[in-house]
Amino acid sequence: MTHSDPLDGSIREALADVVSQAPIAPDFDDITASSSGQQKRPMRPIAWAAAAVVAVVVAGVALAGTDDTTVDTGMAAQDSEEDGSAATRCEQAVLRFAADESNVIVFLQPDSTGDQQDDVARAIQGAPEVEVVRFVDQQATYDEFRDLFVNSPELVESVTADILPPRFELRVAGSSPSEAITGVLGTNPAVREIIAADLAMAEMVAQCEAQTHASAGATPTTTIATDDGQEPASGADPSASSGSDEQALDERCEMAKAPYGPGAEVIAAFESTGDFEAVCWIDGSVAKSPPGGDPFDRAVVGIRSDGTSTLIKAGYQSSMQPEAP
Amino acid sequence: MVRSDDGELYRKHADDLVSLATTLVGPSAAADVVAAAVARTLASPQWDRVDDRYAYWVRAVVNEARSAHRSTMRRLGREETVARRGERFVDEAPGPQPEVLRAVADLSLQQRTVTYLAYWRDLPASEIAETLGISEGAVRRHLARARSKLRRSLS
Repeated sequence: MTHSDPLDGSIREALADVVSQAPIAPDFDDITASSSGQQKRPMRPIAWAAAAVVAVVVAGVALAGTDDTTVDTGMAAQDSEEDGSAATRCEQAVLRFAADESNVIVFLQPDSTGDQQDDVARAIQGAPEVEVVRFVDQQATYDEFRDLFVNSPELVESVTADILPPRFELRVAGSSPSEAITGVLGTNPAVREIIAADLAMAEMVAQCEAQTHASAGATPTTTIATDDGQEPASGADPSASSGSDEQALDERCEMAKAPYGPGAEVIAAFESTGDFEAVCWIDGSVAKSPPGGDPFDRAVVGIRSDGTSTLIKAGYQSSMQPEAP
Repeated sequence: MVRSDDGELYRKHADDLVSLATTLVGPSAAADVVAAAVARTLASPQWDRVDDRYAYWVRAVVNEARSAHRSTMRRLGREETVARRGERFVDEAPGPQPEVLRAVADLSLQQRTVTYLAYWRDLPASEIAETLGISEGAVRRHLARARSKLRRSLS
């Protein structure tokens, strides 16, 4: 691509500045080792969000159509009153989640004993590259949970502190901190999940915002930046609104990929109108009916407002490119 | 299923993938994003049928970065705030100036990806489209919007 505009030089300089901060690439052998033992480090959903979902299912709580019940919201409520923005409120609540200096979070099993937690602490403290920033017990986790899902009182009421996982927040040196701590803790039965702090926080914001939208019975009002080049609605802050809506949309599509095999990946997600609220492009295995030849490897799935999904069409990646509905 | 030459291919592209991830999510999560993305592809049942493994890794990194995107925005904002206060952050950790961070942070994930591939890798629009699995028109639209934003923020 040929560029002659002086802007091109400025862009390259800006990229050089950013790329100069790139860490050392993770080692391939470490990646394959973690890949073969991946059940120890699922990237999503994060542990306590998953616990909340379990609680909701167990309690049979309907998430949508919440009443106007209010609860003691603390900081989150103040933010909500100030700007009414789910994105801002969720971000503010999540900022409390991980200390700034931590980069890895180790979630423990909710039913882990004090002795087991001590074992984990000893294992962590025995690793010179690892520093414990803080330990967060179940009650403190519950307080955070309540703040995060303040707009979903049914959800909050269905969850108790004892089902939420306590956690260690760690500062791990090295180029691939999550991989490093996975190696330290091995197959410790008290460890539920190990995840990069940034990723955990991003997942929480997405969960919080998706839950806020569900509880409000409304869909996000701004359009997202999509692969067809659509931009956020006029007047919206692109770096804020597109990110939150995109996250919520991705989460909906992530929930729809299970039928397409364990390796299924959401490659594109679009807002839609009409029968479906979201349209997801998913790479995975799609059986033909009647069966014959290679299965399709790309699916387009529509998601309705009630959360149910339908396969719209299927085909091969070589001949189907993601496009907005 | 890991192929016999996957390691060699990864090592050839590892620095590029980490640079891309750094552009997308910042340095602190970049290595984890790459590790998670590559691990996910290697565990995929489709992996042994993938022809262009580099392109597949690039798309996997972008997908993985999508999750980290929002938190990166927050972190960049915090770093900028600290720098503005004149605290020791900048002196102790020389790196991108706040305005550069802000300029990159203002781009959408797709715009960052296309900008990186166009300006850092010097790939033509057709190759970017092929790598990302999107149309050439979409590449040009993302790039045009990215340039428009960067013109404002870098001038």
